[in-house]
Amino acid sequence: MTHRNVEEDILTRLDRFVKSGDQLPATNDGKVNVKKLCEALGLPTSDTQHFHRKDAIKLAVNALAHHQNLLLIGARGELAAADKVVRARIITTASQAKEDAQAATEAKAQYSAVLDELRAANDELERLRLENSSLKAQIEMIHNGVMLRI
Amino acid sequence: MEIAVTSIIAQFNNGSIFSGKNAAGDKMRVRFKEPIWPVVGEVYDVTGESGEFRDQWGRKHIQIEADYVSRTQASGKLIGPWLEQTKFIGPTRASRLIKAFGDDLVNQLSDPEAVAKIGAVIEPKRTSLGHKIAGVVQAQFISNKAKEATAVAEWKFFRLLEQNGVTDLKASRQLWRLIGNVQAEQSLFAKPYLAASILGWKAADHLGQRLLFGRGDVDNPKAHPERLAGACDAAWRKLLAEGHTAASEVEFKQAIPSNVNTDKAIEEGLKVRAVVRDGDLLRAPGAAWLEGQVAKRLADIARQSVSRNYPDDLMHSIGSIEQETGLTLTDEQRDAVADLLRRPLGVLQGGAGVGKTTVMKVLISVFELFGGEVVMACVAGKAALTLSRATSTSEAPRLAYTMARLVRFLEMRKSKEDAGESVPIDYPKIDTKTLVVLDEASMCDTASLYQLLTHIPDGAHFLFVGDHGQLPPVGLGRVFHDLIDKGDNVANLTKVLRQAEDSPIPYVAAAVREGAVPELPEYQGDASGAFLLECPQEDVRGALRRLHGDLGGTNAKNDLLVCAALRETVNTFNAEMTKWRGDETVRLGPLASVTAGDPVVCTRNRYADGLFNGLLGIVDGIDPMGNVAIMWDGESDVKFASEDALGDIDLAYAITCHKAQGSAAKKVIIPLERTRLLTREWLYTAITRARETVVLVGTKEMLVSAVSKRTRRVTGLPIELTK
Repeated sequence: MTHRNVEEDILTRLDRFVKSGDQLPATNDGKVNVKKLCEALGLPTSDTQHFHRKDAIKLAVNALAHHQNLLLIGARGELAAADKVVRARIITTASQAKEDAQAATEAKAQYSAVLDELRAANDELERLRLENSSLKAQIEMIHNGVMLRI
Repeated sequence: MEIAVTSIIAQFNNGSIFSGKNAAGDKMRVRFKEPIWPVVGEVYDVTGESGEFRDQWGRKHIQIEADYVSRTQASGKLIGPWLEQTKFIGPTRASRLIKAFGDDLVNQLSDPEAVAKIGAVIEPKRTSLGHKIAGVVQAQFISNKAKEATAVAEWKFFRLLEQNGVTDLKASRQLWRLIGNVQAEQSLFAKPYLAASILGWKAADHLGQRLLFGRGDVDNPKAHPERLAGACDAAWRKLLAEGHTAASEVEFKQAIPSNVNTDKAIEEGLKVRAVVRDGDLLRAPGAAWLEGQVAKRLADIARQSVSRNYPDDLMHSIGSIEQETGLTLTDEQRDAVADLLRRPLGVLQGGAGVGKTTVMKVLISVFELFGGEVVMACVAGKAALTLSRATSTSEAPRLAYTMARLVRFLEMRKSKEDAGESVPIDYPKIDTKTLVVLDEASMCDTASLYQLLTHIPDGAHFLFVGDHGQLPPVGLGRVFHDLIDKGDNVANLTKVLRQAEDSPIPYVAAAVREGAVPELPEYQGDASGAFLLECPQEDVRGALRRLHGDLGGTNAKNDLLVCAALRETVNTFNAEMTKWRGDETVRLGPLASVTAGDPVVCTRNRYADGLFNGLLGIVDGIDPMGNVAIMWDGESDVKFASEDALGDIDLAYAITCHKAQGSAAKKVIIPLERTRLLTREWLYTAITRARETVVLVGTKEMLVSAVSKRTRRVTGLPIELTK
């Protein structure tokens, strides 16, 4: 009897899962439902432990979770609103690339456009962050009696 | 050498040790003694001497003692540690990517066309999964690029400043933050004296002159308008540090750096509003705005109608409360209560021993009797604790907040209300039924009061309680003192209630406050009262040590405090007190090492640990693990100081008078040092820290000199209060 390579087996089933275009099942509080994922992959419930213990599997599922705006395995708390907005664009494009295999060129172009938008959005976020920080620093200076002429 | 951070070994306030890899993959450690906070994945250009280091297990490491580090963009294989620390790749896949793409990896991650290639490397046998992961990693990489570009620009800015003589990294960071954009270099060239409000004049002028010269379009950098205005900023920096918010023209000229033409500087300063003229005074524009806002808000409160419906015979209600509480007021106190209850804005002034706390207790009870609610606050944590205890009964416990904590709670309340969330029941609330009582108000600075007043709605009442004989606040201004000088809405308690035979201290303090030199009996030995131990100036420190021992100072439970003017005296005395030790000591960060029995003081508000700035305590013991147990004032059980808190705890055999404000000790020793800090207000504040015994040490001449000298602070608030 061949010894089962758990990691290989689960990753291969995940690959088929992704190819089929299915989405990760989620709990009510926005986490990956690992038990239901096992069912979807045709795995026994006892395999849920591997999703937490084996890094290669956990990291792969986390990438898919990130795609879907779900909390990563082992993470607490909610995604920042800004993160959700910029990531949502990637999901749409990835789904489109899957659904329409004959329009691969179109999908690629859309993916490029989204990455460009993401780049611009992050640049703008960074600019606003610096500006916000500057204004706060200037207010702190006023509270120390100093009004800067910036 | 460029090194990518792989882990943080140790992080301190003034340095860090991290491990990393260079482009060749060689592992090494870097130690840098400047305040930087590296993060795994960041890349630094490091210069320094390389040596060998053995860890506690005897393993050898290459360690670089860095003279200089500078953040740089990750390139080539240096992107490895960043990839490894993302949540989707891990070391195995990261290593595959580096092997596959080598120095071109960064370009591949930036190229949307490369997503399939990257996916194939990440998961060679599972292309769909690999493609998905590749997309996520590229998105992460792009998100990180913007932050990294900012960080690199920030470090380039620090390098520019360093090349122009600014080596203070903290000041450089502040300047970067204030400018607030990645074109900070250009901004600084346009405003070369921006740093004059942050750096000492010598450094700011050196930087400014070099930048002006570097522009290439300036004929006479020394006479440039930016320099003249910068000199005004430097003058304000000096004056604001002493708490002044305004100055006469003469005083302002004295504060302007000596290598600048004062008339031209003031002329330019007025033109660009680096200086504001208001009558005979020149005012700092930021402080002037703050004072204007404070004065306006106080005037609005004072103009309100009284919120409680008091009967005509209010005295009868006050009498009932006296009976109920068992407190008996004097006529002066009763009149003060009746007067202040009818003022939406009130000021209760009184020296030590006149019964301000008793007046507060009755006033608060009457206000509550007529349907009002009271919120109490103090500047200092220790004073808040004292106020809570003094005004509470078993039936009616009362909690006083520090101003900082109260403002924070009010901000959190507002934030939740604005978001439509429910507000926890224990958050303080200020509305039209509220009286806000600010005790030890002489310690309240202008900016802190401004913060609090922004949360006082129309209809709420406000009562300042304090003693204008005390030192002005550590921060800007002297609001309470200015309100007393103005005289509106003030109830004054003058009668000292403690009998002289019980304690002469309030009488001695009152004499000093009135400018009279008290007749103090010569110190003869440990006894209750107020005394002078006369000795020549040069013998004061020696006498201090002997006296300390005489008053039982080696046993901290004797509650003895040395209240000094000079920081050097405090440090020297504390160090001397620890010389005799043989017991095990624990190092409390950079400030002290302690052993059982040492008195200590907390030097910062630490709400999470339940500690306050100025809170005094005694080290109860040190356990075998080196954990320090402290019995803090007012607590019934010892508390173990957290590792983080240890850095904010100092020895307290001696403390400065400013730190002692709001505190008290059974016995206080006051060295009369030759310093301009020794003024009437300083001496009065120091004397009023003592509950039973106070001993002044020094010459009669120094005592006379101290009483005759006034602590002077010039502010613009009186102008605003009359507008």
